[in-house]
Amino acid sequence: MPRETILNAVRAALAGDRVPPLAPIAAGAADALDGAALAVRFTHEARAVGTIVHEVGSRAAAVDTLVAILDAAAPAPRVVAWPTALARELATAAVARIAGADLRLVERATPADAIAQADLGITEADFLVAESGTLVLRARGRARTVSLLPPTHVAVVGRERLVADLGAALARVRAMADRDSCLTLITGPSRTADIEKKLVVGVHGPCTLHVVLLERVEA
Amino acid sequence: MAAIATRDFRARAAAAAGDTALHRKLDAASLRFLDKRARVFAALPDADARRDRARAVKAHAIATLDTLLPELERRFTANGGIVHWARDGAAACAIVLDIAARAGVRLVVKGKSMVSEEIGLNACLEAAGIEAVETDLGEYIVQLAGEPPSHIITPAIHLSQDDVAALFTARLGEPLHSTAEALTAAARRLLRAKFRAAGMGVTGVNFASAESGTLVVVENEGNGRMALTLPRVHVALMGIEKLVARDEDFAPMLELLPRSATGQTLTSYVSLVTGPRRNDEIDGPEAVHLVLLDNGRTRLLADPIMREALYCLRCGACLNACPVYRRIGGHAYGYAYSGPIGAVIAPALLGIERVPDLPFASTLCGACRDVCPVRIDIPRLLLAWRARIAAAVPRAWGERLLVRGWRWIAWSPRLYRALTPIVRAGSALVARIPALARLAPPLAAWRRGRELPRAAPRSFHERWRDRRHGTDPDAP
Repeated sequence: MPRETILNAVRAALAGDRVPPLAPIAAGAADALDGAALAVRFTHEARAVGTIVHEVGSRAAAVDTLVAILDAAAPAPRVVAWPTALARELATAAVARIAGADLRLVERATPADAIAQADLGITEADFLVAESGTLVLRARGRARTVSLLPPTHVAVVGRERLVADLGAALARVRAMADRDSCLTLITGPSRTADIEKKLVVGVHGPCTLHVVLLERVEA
Repeated sequence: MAAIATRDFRARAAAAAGDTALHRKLDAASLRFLDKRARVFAALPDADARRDRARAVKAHAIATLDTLLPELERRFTANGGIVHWARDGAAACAIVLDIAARAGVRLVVKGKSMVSEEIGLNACLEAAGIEAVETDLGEYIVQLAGEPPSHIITPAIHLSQDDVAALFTARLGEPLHSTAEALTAAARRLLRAKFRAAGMGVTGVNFASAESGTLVVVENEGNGRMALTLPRVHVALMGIEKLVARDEDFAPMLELLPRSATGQTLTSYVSLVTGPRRNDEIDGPEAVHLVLLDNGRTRLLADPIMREALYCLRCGACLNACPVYRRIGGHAYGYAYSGPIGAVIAPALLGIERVPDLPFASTLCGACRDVCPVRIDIPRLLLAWRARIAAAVPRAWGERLLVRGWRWIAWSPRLYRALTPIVRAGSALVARIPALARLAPPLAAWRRGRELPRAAPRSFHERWRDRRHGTDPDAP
């Protein structure tokens, strides 16, 4: 049995070792920042890696922003979106304002081809990490491919989802009762520098990443 | 993977050492990486404390592998995943082939995985009639070129844009002289079709937590996400040293790995995988397999001096920092892992009889230790390997004679002082009449590609004595 052989070799190698317990990971200094300061930090870091951040004050302004993004993406854009409350509401309102635009809410298993043919995918970030400009996306009830296959990804999110650093974001996810099979962290568009260190965006994932950051989500 | 060629190191290194075009490419990429790394570390107020903490996390995990490995297995299985154990590369390849056969897989898409290179998975899959496609752009390029990767992070570091354009023209019919943007767009188009048709995705694992059975996959292009999301089967290949104890250990490791590797705060994508798609999830693989690979790692674990090599995050910073790597490139090392860390782990994974030269390919300048995010004392480990190799594999007679002679002289201050003027006169003479070096064959061999340093006109001892008497003519 290879399992027993390997574990026996590990046990033999470690025989007699005394291991002191590991200290808990302390919270970072950025934890002290308030919501507005976190938004400033997030916006700065996200823009530094090529994310386009739109700070909006209201739902109406968020819809206006989405309409502008959709208009710029393609004529008669095909849109796929998560069925979460905020994403559904904003996507539905924005698509209704564009002639010929098509919206598909991805609520059940959908062929990857249908998602890949969309011009734009709309998701809702579960958390935003201020220190690194990162989006945290869960998988439960939400298609992972919506943030991966279309050439443009738009995440909508309220300011209350901001956390200081990655450790805080992952701790919040761990505190949730249910576990997803996959948690995705996104920091900027898909990128490579494999050819002579030249930065090229849009290798396999989206070429463009927008974050529509709402000051208040409640109506 | 090309055949392991660590025994050919001297010939390959000598050829690469004369390849100035290669040096330009290596310097351009490595120094840029190092510069970005230095800037993001300088921006961290507590960089040293973070490195200490990351080292402590890894040290703790490696010292408790005996409990963490079964715990990882238990948790990952409870999540719905399937765990396999492989003693060596051949066993790991057989496991992957068996999974592919049972699932009727004809096409495999691969995220970047150094373990896959280590075990030679592509050759195994292809021998079984299964197409294996590398999807990381750099890996895709070297696969098209029929070469192994030459850097842990940037596999095609040894190729210029013109080289890649010529390769894409010859192999894919792409237009001549394409730009990096056009080449990337071509790869995106061609590989999209592969992602959608593949029955299996293979990825590596950067970290795994025993606490929850979570696997972390770090990448920039989105090919890793494709490989672990679209195909119905996901196989994750993992060396047993990639474990950490707790989920809370992920953040401190993720805060250091991209900073060290590419100078990024975080990579574009990080996936934390706990198992196959659940009932209330819309996409993701139906089955997730985790292959735990030993392949010599338990030998490193059992070796109290070498054990810290298992802390390695495979960030590649030591390659970029190494003046030897920057002159010979990754291919010279003849193994998946090159550079300073490659020279430390190759003798353990392959056995010193197959790796007689790599630990000697270092100036011991310490640049690798200075940039290592988990502070592995690579020069110390290289020295330890040198001592072991010298004891097990007889060195050339000239080298042995030289070292024995040097020891004899260095142990005797009187002899040392007596010989100093002779060596000084000799070095001045050889500098003036280089042909004299031919009289001593080992010296002549050493001088190929090197300048013989001229001894200083006055020795340290002489200057020290004069300084104490206030008569040093060189004193400022």
